[in-house]
Amino acid sequence: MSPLQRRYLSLAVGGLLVLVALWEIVAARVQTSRVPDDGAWKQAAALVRKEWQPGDLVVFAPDWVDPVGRMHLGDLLPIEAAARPHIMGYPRIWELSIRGAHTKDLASLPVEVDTEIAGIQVRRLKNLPMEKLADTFELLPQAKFEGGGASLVLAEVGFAPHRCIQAVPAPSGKPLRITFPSLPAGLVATSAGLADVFKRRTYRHPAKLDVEVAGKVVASLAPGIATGWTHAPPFTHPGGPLTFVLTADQPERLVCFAAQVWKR
Amino acid sequence: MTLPFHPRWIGWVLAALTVLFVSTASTQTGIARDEMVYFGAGDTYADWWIGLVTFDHGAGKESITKSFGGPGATDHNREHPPLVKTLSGLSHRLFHGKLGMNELVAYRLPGALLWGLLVLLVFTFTLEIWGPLEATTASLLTLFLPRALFHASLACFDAPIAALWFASIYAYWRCLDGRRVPWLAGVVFGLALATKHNALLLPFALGGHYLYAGWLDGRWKGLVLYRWRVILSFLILAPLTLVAVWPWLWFDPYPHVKQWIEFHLNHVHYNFEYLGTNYNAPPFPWHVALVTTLFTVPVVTLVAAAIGGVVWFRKRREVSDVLSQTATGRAPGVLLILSAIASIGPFVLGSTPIFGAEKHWMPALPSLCIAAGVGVAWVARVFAHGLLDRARIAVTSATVAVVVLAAAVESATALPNALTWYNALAGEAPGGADHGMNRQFWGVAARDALPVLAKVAGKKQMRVYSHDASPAWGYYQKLGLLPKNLPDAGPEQQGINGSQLAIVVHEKHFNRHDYMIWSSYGTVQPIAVIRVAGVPVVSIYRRPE
Repeated sequence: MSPLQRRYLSLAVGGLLVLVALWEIVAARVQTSRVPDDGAWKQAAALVRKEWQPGDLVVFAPDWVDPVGRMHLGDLLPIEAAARPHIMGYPRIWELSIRGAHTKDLASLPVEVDTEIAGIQVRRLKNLPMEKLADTFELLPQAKFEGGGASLVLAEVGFAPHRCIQAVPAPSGKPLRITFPSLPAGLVATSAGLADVFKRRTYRHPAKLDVEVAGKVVASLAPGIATGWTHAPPFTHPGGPLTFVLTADQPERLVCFAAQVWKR
Repeated sequence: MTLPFHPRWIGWVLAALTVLFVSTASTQTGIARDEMVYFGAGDTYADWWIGLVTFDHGAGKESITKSFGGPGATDHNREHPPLVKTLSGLSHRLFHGKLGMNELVAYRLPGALLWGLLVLLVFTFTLEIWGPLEATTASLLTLFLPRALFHASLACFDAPIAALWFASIYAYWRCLDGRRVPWLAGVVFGLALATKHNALLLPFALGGHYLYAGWLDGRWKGLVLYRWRVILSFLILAPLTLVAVWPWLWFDPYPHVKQWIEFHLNHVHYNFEYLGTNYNAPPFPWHVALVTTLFTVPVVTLVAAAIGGVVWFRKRREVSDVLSQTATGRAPGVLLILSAIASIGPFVLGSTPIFGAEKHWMPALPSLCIAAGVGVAWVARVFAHGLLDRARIAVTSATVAVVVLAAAVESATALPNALTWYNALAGEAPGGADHGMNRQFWGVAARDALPVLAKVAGKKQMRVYSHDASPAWGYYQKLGLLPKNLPDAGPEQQGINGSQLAIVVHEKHFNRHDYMIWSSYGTVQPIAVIRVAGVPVVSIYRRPE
């Protein structure tokens, strides 16, 4: 390399450093002021309130802005909705999002309204209208137990809230069976996960949840430490008893599950 | 250009400025959960030493155990060596007790002083190898490390060990000059050991360098005999220093040292979010330390360090020549590289706890800043090449100023909640949140919720679920930052059920606290959300009436 070329290269490297410095000075200020403030949220919330209908659901994205969203619209979000098992049963879903983030569950839904208010994207999405025929959460008092019990909880599963039936199968592998004697016929949606981040840290093995109809397994899930809240493919129930069979090979597997029967 | 004073004065001025900056920052920083433990232990240790020198008590096993140990693994915080806690306790007794200084600042002053020492040593080390321009820039870039500045403002061990780690590096390097009694190396390493267990990694850097320098100096013979007195200094004076400042080792030293080390080898893995995943058990990604450093050091410092590394490599013979006037084979560049590797290396293994993130490998940062100082000075000289005196000085100063300003702007942006801050490359705090990087730890941000709670409660007596700020709650009240009519409601669901107000310090694994509050309060709606650059750090709930 000639001395002149070397000089140009040195100046280019030096120029790069100065450009980085100047960019960082500006970027530090600009990037920290790009998150919508309470004024923006109030405007976006006003739009949602104006159009709100009973049975609507509101969600926020990305996850980290959820507390701000709840502060502005939390009165429209009952605990049952915030800790829902999934989005079935909500015909209209509002999504308030910032920084280009979106809720994964809504990816396939058609958008009815899409507008931006001071950096907050407000979308309303159309969901399939579904009628809930039964919810195991509400029917737990009628259930029959073999090999243990269960309770109704609002639990942390995969760092998200879920209202669910929580049961702890014996570490021996002996199944814990929970039977709902008479569920109506329909489409059954089952979801499950392991509750409690500290229990997931201590015990690392997954548990197993089988759903049985007339002694035959029709759906199965293996909630583990990293699976979060998972869904089994929905199946058609002919009506009658439905049994959830939980097994584990480690103690304190807090298996949380929820299942509903939906009219097709 | 010849300075009208010895350039070392610049180092002292920068060190003094650092102490001032850090102490000022410490007045705004919330109380870290662990600090409460260290405050208590520090007071106990200080009282014991004061009692000893005033002949109130002797140095018997019973008296030492009462202040420094006990049967439990964490009794009197015996799982951590005592140096910084003792200094904090003495500072509290003297500067607060006798001179009326702000209590929090008094506890945190030793950390600020040690960070000032680090800036001074970075200056001195760089000055000896390169020159005043490199030394000044390196020191300023050390001062304006936002996360490190935050850690230095706490009465914890992470900034002090970074300072004493580098002090050990420097003392060792100085003692390689062939002096007859290299006591400094052993004593400073002993003080590092008495600060935090990270110091146990130092022999990998120092030993590696000794072998390298010894080989250059005398091949096989040099491996042992190169500066054998330095080895003796480490072997004899370091443990003696550690024992001297840690009375818990004055009896049963072997089991006590073993318990100390075993505690950290079997340390529980706390929850920590990294790139969107909550980690609380190994294996951890090998790149945690690299990506975290990439996101938590000002970008300009990283780029300057890369340039400085290349410059240093290309000029290595020149640097060696300069050194040969005072000592041969001291290889400072290799020493700095080994220092950084020894500090950050364990975190590449995938099994070393990552929950403290950058604070755990902060001793690597002086190497980075010195390289950055070399890089910036080289760029400044490139720009100033061929210019006349005044223009040269102006261009050089402007180049250094713009680089340092960028790092200073990042620091100003970061404080006082620097654990939520990420650099411009990551997109600052919102970018860090987008990338799923850890939001904070230790409950420090709860301090920003205190005025809101006070305003909501007014004169009413309201019990507060204080979550991660629980250990500091009483102290906030003592300091007057929280009114007395807002007592702590107690822990977990029982505390929430008995509370009228509740806070949640946002970390991914703390989400469950939101849900416990929802269950008890019957609402998911917080009344306020404290944010840093728009990123939620604390939610505040009020029980509906």
